[in-house]
Amino acid sequence: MNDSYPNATPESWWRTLSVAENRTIFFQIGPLQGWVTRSRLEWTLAHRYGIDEEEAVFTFDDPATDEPPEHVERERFPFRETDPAIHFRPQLADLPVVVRPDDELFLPSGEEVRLFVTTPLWLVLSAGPLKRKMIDLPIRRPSETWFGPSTREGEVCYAARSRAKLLVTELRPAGVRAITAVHVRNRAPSPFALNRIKVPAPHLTLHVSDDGRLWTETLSIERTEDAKTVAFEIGTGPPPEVFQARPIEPPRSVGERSHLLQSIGSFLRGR
Amino acid sequence: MGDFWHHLGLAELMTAERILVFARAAIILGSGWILARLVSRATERAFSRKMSPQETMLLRRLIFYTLFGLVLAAALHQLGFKLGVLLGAAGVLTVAIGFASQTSASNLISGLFLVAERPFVVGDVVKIEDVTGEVLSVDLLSVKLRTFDNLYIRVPNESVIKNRVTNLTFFPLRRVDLIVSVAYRENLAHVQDVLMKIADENPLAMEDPAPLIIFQQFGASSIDLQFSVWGRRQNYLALKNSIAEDVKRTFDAEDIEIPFPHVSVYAGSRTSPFPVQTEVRERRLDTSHGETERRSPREPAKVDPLSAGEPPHHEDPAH
Repeated sequence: MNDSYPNATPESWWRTLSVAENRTIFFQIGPLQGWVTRSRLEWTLAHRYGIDEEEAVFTFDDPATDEPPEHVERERFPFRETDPAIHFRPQLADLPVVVRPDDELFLPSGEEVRLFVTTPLWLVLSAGPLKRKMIDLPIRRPSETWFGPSTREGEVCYAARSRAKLLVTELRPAGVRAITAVHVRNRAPSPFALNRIKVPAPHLTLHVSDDGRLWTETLSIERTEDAKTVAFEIGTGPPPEVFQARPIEPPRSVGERSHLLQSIGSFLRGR
Repeated sequence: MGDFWHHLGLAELMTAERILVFARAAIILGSGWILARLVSRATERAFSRKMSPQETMLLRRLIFYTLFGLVLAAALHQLGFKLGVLLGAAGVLTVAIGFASQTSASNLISGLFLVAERPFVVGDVVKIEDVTGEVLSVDLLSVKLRTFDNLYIRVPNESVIKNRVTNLTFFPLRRVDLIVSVAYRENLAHVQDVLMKIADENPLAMEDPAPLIIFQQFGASSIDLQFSVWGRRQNYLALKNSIAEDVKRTFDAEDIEIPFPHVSVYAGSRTSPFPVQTEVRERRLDTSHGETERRSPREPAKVDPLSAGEPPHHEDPAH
């Protein structure tokens, strides 16, 4: 069932399932639990958020052992006629994600490093050969945050915490988060506080590597010598050591990168 | 018939030449009206992207009335009126009208100030005096609001200028302030940790600007803290409700007491506690008058445990 997606491994939860008529299947991806029922003319989806475990877990039960509980959110999607295929696909966040490293990071003057930060993923459920989209849900409900110089100007983003590892080998196995490599260079004479890094998730492409991890393009951030401006760039793909990375989902927003680049100055907020 | 016109003196008026003059004036007026309308509409369209709807509306009206005024003057001139005399008469008339329409004029001028100052625009939610509602239009004489219980309210511009106006949707973020009261026995550091965790776990509460906890006072029965969280202005009500619900649920789970007012009653330092006596209401079925109640105050059914075993007694508070 997983063959239609590139680089699928046993750890990859994105897949296409075939659901018989009048049958309910259960899935859990991270804390997100869902029940999908197919009848002849409609799909019914119910979901809720369970215990938020850091480790990636996913299960698919066909048929579901239990009916969805009474109080969970339920949505119906009528079709002319339903097709057995249902597609579970990952997608990046629909707003930029502001990543805050668990511990404060200060990049000394003249240094250049590469950090790996992770951002939460969304689940897109679509049905049939035409992949008609039904729901687009965060796998882990993120908090909102404000990214801007004051409460008057800025933009709403999602907040995410990340360990901000420096080595690929330190990263966890494939899971329910996407990895972004951030190349940071500090040309200014003072240390560069990397308190919050904004990842423009809606403008990035989701890639999958040969080990089943999900990656976005590399971001480059350079603090200029006068310490007043920060140059920002989106790379062409994941870092070179990520083997056989293949694009799996296109960006949610296309053609707005020029607007994105206009806000370079506010891309990083440090002290 | 001819005598009739002659009698009225209209026969001379209705000569062919005169009819031609009237026709010319009517054509000037009619085509001028159409022209003014076309020009004002075209201007509105041209500026609709650069200006707000109320500004374009004002611009359209200004252009229309100016052009139409000129056209009217031209038509009157065609009819033989002397404009100088007319303007003189209009000046006198203006003074008279000014006195009569003082309120309207005040509203009109206030309206111009409102348009220039732009404290709110169509679609904003504002609070003017005690009225809160969505702005439907900002006109020259009044501001029209739709309240949340769907009432249409017209607020004169003069009172908008004179009174305090709060625009609830001006900034993208809003802060929800809750007063959280906890019992004196609670560990305040623990309470603060719990509150911060509540804000962290609520998806509508912003991580940045960070939530605030401000000590308010040592109250009569509780320690009062202000708990403030930020959220999108669209989520204000949902955040306010969900955060209050989270606080109650988490405090219950963490066994943090939200106290209600306590009142300790003393009869004086030397007295023993007040004996408390409860009354029992007996019910009996009265066959003639249906069910009635009978009080038996002299038959205590339950005695306060503090004074159990002692006979009820009353002390003079003066002792």
